Amino acid sequence: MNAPLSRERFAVLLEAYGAAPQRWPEAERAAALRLLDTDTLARQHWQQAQALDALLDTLPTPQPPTATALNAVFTRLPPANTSTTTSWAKALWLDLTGWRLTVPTFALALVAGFATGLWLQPNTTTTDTTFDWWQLSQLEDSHWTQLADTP
Amino acid sequence: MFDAGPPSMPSGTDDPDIADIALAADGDRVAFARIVRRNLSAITALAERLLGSHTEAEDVAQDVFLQAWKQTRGWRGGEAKFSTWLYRVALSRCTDRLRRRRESPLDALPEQGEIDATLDVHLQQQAVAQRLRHALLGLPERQRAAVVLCHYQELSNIEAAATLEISVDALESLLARGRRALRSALLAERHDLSGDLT
Repeated sequence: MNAPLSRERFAVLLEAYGAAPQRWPEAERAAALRLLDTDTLARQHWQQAQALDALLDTLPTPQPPTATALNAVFTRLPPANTSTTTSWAKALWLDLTGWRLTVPTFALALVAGFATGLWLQPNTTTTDTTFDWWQLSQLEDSHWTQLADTP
Repeated sequence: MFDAGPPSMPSGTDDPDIADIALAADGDRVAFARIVRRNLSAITALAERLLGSHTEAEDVAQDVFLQAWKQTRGWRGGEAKFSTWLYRVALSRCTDRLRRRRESPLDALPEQGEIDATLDVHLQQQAVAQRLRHALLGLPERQRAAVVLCHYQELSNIEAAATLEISVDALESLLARGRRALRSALLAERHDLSGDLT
């Protein structure tokens, strides 16, 4: 970035990343260094941030992991990465991008089911069928009424 | 929070692990060993800085790599660096442990008066480090993670933001709040500390 950096932005950088230029965002580093070279107030802010950095750096570097830890990783690994969990079906599923197919497959099944239903529909309209059932229920009601009235 | 399947944020272009991930996915343990050797130190260091315990850090690292072994098969290269995903799993494991630990109080730290002026420099440094560790552990989880990732692990702002699954602006906000909190926590004890925070 060739544009100059404002003091305000420089202060934000110091507040967030501290005084070490290697921790500053790469895109703003050069401009920040130029400001640091030329601006007295920016330099004062930088020195304050440097003091906190120095304190943070007193935390000892963690010990490297032991050989035991390294070995423990390998002794705890399952015997094989693929044979235990990966069948040909799973491999195919993964090759077909797995779960991403779930929604389109469901939608396709829904459309296919609906289309099949329309295709297999009997040649009777819904109104006719409803009317037949209504007539039947009427007959049955009168039949049961007659039976009830019979001594 | 951090723990999920393979990451889905754009970041990694030059991933040093990518070739070995493909081999490990086919069961190649030697390739997986290379991945472990490249990343084990960083993951252990991250966990130790977050947890303050080397033993616990090694346990976390083992869990992270066991999960990594299982995840290599489903890894989608080009979407993120594998190490970013490892960091994310490690953060998740550390967060879980810290939450479990929260019920029991932190180990007592030496009071200011307990530090004897006759202690040698090494002991003084240990005391300073202990207070700093305490101050770090006192930060909210996300602020602590941001400070550790950027200051101690020296991740770039883009990598750290990707690990925390936040924007760079949000990362800067976390960092600034974390550093301010550390400054004020340590400022009160500055007579015992080696740095001048004024």
